[in-house]
Amino acid sequence: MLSLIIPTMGQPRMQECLATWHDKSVGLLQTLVVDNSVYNRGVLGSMRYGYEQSDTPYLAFIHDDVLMHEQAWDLRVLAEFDDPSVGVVGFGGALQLGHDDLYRTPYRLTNLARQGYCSNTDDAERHGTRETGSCGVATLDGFVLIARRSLIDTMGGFPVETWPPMHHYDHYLCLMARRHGYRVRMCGVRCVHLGGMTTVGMPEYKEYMRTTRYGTDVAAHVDGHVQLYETFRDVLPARVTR
Amino acid sequence: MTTNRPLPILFLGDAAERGTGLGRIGRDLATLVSRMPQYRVGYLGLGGVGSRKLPFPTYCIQQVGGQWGEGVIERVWWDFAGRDAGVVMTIWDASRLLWFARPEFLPDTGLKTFLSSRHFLRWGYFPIDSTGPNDRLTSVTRDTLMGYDRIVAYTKWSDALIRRSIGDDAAQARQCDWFPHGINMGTFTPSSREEGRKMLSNRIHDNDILIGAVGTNQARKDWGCIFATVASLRTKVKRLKLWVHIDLDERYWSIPALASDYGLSDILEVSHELTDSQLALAYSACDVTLHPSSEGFGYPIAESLACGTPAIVGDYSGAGSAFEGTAALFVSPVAYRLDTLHNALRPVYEPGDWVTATLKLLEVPLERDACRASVSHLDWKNLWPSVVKKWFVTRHEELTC
Repeated sequence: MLSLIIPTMGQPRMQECLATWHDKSVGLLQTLVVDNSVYNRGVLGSMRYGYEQSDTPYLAFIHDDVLMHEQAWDLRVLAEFDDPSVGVVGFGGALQLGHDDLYRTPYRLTNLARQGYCSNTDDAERHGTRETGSCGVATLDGFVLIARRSLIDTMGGFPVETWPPMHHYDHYLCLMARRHGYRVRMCGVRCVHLGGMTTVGMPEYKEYMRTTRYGTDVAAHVDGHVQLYETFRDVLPARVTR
Repeated sequence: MTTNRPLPILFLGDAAERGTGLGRIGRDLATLVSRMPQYRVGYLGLGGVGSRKLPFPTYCIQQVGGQWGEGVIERVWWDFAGRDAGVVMTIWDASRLLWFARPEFLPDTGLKTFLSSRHFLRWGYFPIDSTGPNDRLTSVTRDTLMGYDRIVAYTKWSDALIRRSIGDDAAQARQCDWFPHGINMGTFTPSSREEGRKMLSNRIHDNDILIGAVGTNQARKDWGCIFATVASLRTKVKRLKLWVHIDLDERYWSIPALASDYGLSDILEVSHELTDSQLALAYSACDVTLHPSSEGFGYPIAESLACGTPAIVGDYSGAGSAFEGTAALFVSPVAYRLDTLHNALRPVYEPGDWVTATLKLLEVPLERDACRASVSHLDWKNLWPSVVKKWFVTRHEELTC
C-alpha cells in the first residue's frame, strides 16, 4: 500500500532511522533508498525516481534523518487517505503559506513565509505548536511528504528540469494538490527529525549546487521563491482555518 | 440566493467610456468580470452615452440636477436584471451614495420602496482619498458604508480607515477587504525618451530636465504645490521644463495664472486629451513626475513607474499606501487642514521638501527597469488572476453555495 522513498547521501544514522519506520509499522512497506552519494539526483529528482520505480497507491517521501516513535503510524496515515479529497499528508505543516498581501503589494521574499506551523516532533514547540491530532494545513514541511499517486499522476510528475532541486519541493507538492482540488493534512505522528545530517555547508553539496543552473544554495533559495510566487498565483496565498 | 444562472451585477459609477479615474476602474472591472461565466454584467454610468466597444450593456445617467442615479436606477434594474436577484456594485465616493445605501432616510416615494425591497445586494469599491477628523471617516460616509453588504477599499490604508470608522464587527460582517487598481503594462511601458519628447513638443530638447505632472483640475490635486516646486527647482536646475497633463486649464485652478505668477510660462507644455499610448510616451519622456495630490489610488503614479520614470509621491492617504514598497519616493506633509463639505483632511506640503526629493532623484536616477518592476504586481495580467478575480469568485460562492 505504501512506499517509503528515502533520498540519502549516506548519512551514518540512515539505516537506524529507516529501521524505526519498519519496526513501528503494521502493514507492508515497499522501501526504496535513493542513493545520491555517487550521483546526486537532488531531492526533487529522487522523488521522481521513487515515483517511477514504485507501484503503490501512496508514496511516502521521507528525509533520511527521521526516527519514528509512533506505533502503527502507517494505519494512521492511511486513515487520512480514506477521504478521497486528501492528496498529501505530512507530519509537520503550516496553516498559512504566503502573506495576505502577497499579490497586492510588491514582491518580497519574506511575504512567502509560512505561518502557524504545527507538528508532533520531539521539538515541536521550537518550531511552532504541538499538535497530536490531525488538521488541514496549507502546506507541509518536506521532512515527511506522503502523497496519493493519483495526485502525482495528475500533476504530471515532478518538474525536475525547471524547479530547484533541493528547495520548495514541499510547497510545490502541496500547492499542486490545492490546484487540483485536493486537501493537505498534517498528522501529528510522534517522531524525531534529527536534522542537520545533510547540510548546505557540506563540500559535496556546494559542489553539487555549482553544477545546477542556480550555482549556489542561496541563489536556488531566492530564485525558487520567485518561481513559487509566479507559478502558484491561482492558489496563493494559501490558508486553512482551524 | 442560489442560482445556476449567471448572477446579474450592475456597476454604478462614472461612465465607463469616460476618461476619469473612476470611469477607468469601472470600465476595467466591468470588462474583466464580464468574462467570468458566473456573472452577467451591466453598467449604469454618469456622464456618458454608452459605447459599442464595451462588452456589456450600458445605461446612462444624464448629468443634470446633481443626480447620482436616483432618477433611473429602478427602471434600469428591471430592464437589466428582470426578475433575477443580483448585485449593484458602486465605484463612487460614499458621499454620493447615502440615498442608495440607506433608503430609510429617503422621503416616502417609489424609490424608497424599490431600494428597500432588497432586489439586489449592495457591494461597493470605495475611493477614499482622505481621512476626516479624529482619523475616522466623516459621519455621512460611515452611515453610507453601513448600508452595504460587501465593502472593498482601494488600499490597505483605506481598508484600515474603514474598519476604524465603522468598527471591527461591522467590517467583519461586510467582509471588508481591499485590492489595488490594475493597469495595462503592455500599454504603459518604457519608450524612447527622444520619441516622447518629440511627441510632446519640439521645444523640449534631449538635454532638458523634464518634470511631469498628470491630474485633473480639482482642489485636491494641489497644482499650487507643483508649480511652486518647479519654480524653486528652476533656480537650481538648468534647462528645466515642465509638462502638465490636465483635463481643463481652468476650473478650481488656473494653469495659465499659475504659470504666469510663478514665471514658468516659457518652460511649460500642457496636454489635454492624450491616448494611453501617447501618455506612455510622455511619461517616458520625463525625468521624474510629481504627485502631491490626495488620491484614493493614483493612476498617474502607477503609470509613471510602469513607464520607467521615477515618481515622487505625497505620503498621505491611498497613494501613500498603494505605492509603499515600490520605487516611488515619498514626501511627508508638514501639516493638515480640514476642507470641503465632507470634512476631508488634506495634506499641506512644503515645496522645499519636493525640491529636495527631486534633486536627490536627479542626482542619482533610478533605473528604469527597477521602477517598472516595482509595480509589476499592478499589471492586470497579474493582479486580476491573483487577487481581484478571486474576490469575485469568493463573493459568488458565498451566494450560491
